Amino acid sequence: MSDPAEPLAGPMVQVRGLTRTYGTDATAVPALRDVSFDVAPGEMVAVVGRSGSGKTTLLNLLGGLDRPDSGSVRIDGSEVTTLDEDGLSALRRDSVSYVFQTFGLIPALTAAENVGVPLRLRRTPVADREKRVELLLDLVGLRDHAGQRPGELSGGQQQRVAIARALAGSPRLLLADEPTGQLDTETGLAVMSLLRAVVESEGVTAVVATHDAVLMALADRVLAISDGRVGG
Amino acid sequence: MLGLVLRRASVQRRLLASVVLLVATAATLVGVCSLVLTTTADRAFHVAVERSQPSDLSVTAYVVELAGDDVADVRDEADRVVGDVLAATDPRLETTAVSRLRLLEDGERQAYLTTTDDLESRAVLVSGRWPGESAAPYEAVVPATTARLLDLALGDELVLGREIGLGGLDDPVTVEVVGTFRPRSQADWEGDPLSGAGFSATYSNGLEAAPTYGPFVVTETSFLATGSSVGGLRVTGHPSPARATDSALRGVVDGLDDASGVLAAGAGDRARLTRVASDLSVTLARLHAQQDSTRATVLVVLLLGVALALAAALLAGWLVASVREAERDLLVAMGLSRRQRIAAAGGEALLLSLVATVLAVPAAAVMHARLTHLPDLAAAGLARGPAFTWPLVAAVLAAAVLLTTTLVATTLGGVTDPGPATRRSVLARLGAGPLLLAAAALAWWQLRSQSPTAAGSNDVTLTVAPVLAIAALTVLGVRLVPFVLVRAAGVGTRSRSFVWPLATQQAARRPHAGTAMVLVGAAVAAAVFGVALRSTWERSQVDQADLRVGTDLALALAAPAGTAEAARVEEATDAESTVSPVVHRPLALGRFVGTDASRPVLLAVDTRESGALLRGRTGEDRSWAEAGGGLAPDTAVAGVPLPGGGEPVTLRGESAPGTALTAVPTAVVEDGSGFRSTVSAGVLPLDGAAHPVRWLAPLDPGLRLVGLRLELDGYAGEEPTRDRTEVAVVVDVPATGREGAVPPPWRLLPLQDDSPVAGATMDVRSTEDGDATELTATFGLDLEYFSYSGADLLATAFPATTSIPVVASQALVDTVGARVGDRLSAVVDGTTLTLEVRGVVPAVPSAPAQVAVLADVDAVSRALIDAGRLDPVVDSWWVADPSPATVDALRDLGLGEVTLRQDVAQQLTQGPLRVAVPTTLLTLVALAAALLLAGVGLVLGAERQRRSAEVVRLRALGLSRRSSRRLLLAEHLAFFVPTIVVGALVGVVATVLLGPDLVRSDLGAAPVPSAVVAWPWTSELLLLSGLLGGTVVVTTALTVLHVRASDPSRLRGAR
Repeated sequence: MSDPAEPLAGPMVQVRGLTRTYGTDATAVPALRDVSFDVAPGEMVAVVGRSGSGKTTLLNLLGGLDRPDSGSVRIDGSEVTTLDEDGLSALRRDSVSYVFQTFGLIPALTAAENVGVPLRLRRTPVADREKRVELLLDLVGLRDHAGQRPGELSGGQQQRVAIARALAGSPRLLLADEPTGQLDTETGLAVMSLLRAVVESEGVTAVVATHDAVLMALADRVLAISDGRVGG
Repeated sequence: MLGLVLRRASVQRRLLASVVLLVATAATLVGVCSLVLTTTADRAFHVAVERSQPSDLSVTAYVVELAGDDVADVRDEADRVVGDVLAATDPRLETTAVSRLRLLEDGERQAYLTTTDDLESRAVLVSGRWPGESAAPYEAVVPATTARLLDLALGDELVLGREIGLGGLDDPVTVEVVGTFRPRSQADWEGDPLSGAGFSATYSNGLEAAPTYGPFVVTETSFLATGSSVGGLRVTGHPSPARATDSALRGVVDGLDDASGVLAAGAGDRARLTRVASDLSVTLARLHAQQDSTRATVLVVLLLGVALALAAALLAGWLVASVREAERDLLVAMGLSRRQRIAAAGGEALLLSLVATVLAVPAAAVMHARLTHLPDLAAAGLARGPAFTWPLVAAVLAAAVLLTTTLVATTLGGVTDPGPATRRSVLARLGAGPLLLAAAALAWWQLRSQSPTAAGSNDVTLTVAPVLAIAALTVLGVRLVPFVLVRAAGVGTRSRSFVWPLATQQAARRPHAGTAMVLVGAAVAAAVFGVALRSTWERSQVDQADLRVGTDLALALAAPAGTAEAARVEEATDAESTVSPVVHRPLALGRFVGTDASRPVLLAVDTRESGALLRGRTGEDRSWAEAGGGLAPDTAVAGVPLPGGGEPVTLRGESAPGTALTAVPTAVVEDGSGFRSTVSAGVLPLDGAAHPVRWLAPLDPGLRLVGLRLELDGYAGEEPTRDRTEVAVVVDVPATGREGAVPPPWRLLPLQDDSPVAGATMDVRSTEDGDATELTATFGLDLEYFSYSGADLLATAFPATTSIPVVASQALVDTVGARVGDRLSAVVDGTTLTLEVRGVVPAVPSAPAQVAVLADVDAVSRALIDAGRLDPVVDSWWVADPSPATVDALRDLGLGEVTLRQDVAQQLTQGPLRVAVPTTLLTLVALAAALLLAGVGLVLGAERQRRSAEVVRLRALGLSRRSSRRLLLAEHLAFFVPTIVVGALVGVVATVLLGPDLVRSDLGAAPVPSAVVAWPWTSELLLLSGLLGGTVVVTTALTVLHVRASDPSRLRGAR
């Protein structure tokens, strides 16, 4: 894993001619059509668009969760679309992390344990893991809630835990799909501000899908997507 | 709502098909059990009746003492009474009449006539032919023993003189012997005055005892033509097996209450005594006890099966509820009332029940038919085709409705988050375990304290106790599993890996884990319990057979054996077998004579072979060789070898002047196998000359003289003197070349309590030329006393027996209070013997639970000979390790009933009313295994439903597919394996606590010896391996499918 603070020469994300269609023939639904764009290292990009516009498909393709019909996705210079199953798992484990709309915390684990999941996946030494978890919980303001399980936390707190978890593995790219979709406006703004802050402090590149105009202001750049095409 | 239900069913058809399959499977089990409890039980009863001994089912009218003129009328009356009692069973009637005793020509011996309907089935013709109709002399057949003892040949005529007793006829009856027979079994001749033995030296029917011979069997016409008075008339009715249903036989038993009175009224004063009796009530009680015992086992399986199925239905309900959660929330939000939801659920439950019933009824009928065609059940005569009965349909429908209602009702509640535990729910959970445990403890206590005899009230206890025990122990046992998992997760917290900590955390915190663990644990416990109980039950039946027969093969003699029979038995057995003559007869211990049902018993065998010969548990890890050691006399009896032919044995003796004494010698001889019998000889004068002894039966080669009785009689002179007159009687036995160097010492003693004999001595020596052994009896004789009493002396070749060492049964110790070292006074056949208790065993072979003693047959024989009982005392022969050829040869001898230990064991385990027990327990194992796998499938299905999004997200976080599989597999196995282990432990504990007490004998009573747990380790290991392996396979397969369906590309749907 490379040092996130190390400056990179090229874009962190390079997307070219990305196309994805669901279904076939008469039932075919084009989700993305010949999409191309770059995201610079450390940049926070907001992908905006209506429901069904292709935001989630784009994020899934960036994270290697889905494969395009055509086109290429390069993350930190590495082609994602040609990676095999293990390569994609390694990519998600080491370079890309996710923040889900529904938080995606494991109910059986405490907040600290949830944050430690990516580190366990990477078999980080216990002492380093605990130190990192403590740091991140401190960063998201939940140090006092480390031992609580998701069911004992509010929605905003759960999303903050999810952000801490997303940052635990020191990813190069953070993908967030409607991270405030389950939260009220005030909490959503707070979470987004936190995301903005921690991305900056951790030097992580972030692509955030949202349709909340208030949140777009916090992004470095807004990438509008409509009918599967990126508008600018 | 019905439309919605149907449309939803169409969409969720795969899920509902699984639910229907689960319910149909459980309902099928219920249906099979209902058929076992009805159709098979009826069939088993019918077969059991068919296979019963005729005497167990028959009804007999007894009439005692009739004038010859009244015989026909009273017999018709008895026929009518017996026929009426058995009217519902289409009976077959048999009549047997025994005449009053008649004197033979010498006036000292007696004989009797008999006529019977069924002679050919009760006896084997030895020579000649069966009797036909004839005028005087009447054709008759006699037992071979009678013919031998009376020296009767075919064609001989014999006059049976006047009838003895008051009012007896004086007219003699002349019979012509046209054949001889041998009784097939003693049981068939129970009604005969001599039990088919053909002779008794001391038979008495209330008058003076005298040597008695018979029966002289004639046809009924001949019998009536003789005009003989009847001592006993029996009319026996045998029910037709085809009509002998349970209800018909119950009716017969009810009818017996009045039958004796009706017969007494009909016979009036023509008969001295009348009675109608039957063992049918005892037989029915035994059959019902077996039915009850088997029913209890089937009900155990049924209850356990239903309990497991209910748990599975709950799990299935939660699975369905999780699938429908969104729909339910939507409908509730749209204003669907609770009543409407209940109505919809009820409709759906009814539809599912009907579908499951339609599937389960034929499935149960077919499965039951297949079950009855299993080898053991087919051999028991229970094989039947598929049966469709209303009880089957009702049972299946009830089970299906119960299960689907439970299942559908579960879907009405929430699933994902049971919410915080309320105080009431916590108290309920905490209280359920102890309450169940208390109930199980109560059932266990009831089971332990149940009556050792057959009692119907035990049925409920036998059924409920194992179900409660398994349920309570499982509920409490599985509570350990989350505790262990939490501890394991705690340990895993500090590890670097991801799989183990998360797997244990997840396994420890599953919702509805309690029900799943109870289902899995109880299924495993039931399977382990079923296998162990089956093994324990079968082992107990074998133990009971061991003790009941006492050895591998028992030949119970129909008539007393002589040397010839002993030789035939020896010839029929091969060299590898261990053979022993056996004394098995009632005993009186002081004043204790026991009860009609349980008399004290003397069992005497060759205890030098007790280790090889005897079967049954001795307790305290002792072998029978150890238990029977020290009971046999220290040395064998040498005796004097007798010549088989050639030069005769001679006897000479000299009477005092003025007297003319005679002697009747009776030789006590022993063959090579140790069998002792007697051979009488003709009267010889004591006139100073040597007279050859004329034996009344041939002396077989190889016999040894071990005792000699001398009965002295004759003229004691005009004025017999009280002074002692010395008498010497010398018996010369020609040498055979088998004599020892020095003849062993002999004893001579008078047999009478008040004897004219004094100073008796015996001298045995070889003659100077070595050609003979000379036995010289010298004694003084009080001639005056002798003139009244005669003299009776006995010389024996063995030392006096002061007491017979015995091993006592625990029942004897408990009843009489005897201890090791005590001496007991016992009466055997009127002869008083002294027994010395050398040890105690739980039970004496062939006398389970009875007050009994085990002694050495040689010691008993010596003691009886010492007491003047010279006749053979052998009642049977026991054979250990007989080859099939030996078994056939012994059966072919026709000397009596041959009982094989393995046959008895097979009858106990595979009799028609018993065979369902092991088969049903196997069904329980199969059912438990099926429900375990169904439970595993349901748990995994619910987990997949609940966790699919989580797994997708973990994949999105970088968890590889392989790691995902490892995680889920580890999590599921962390949940199942400890639960299976707990279930296995529960099964073990339930078996140890309850197993022995659940086993009942074929009489419905506690088994003797008491049952002990028999662990079939191999079967249990295979079972657990199979259950574990099946769980792993199902878990692995479903986990692979789960992970395959959790590709990160489904993240959109997982949100």
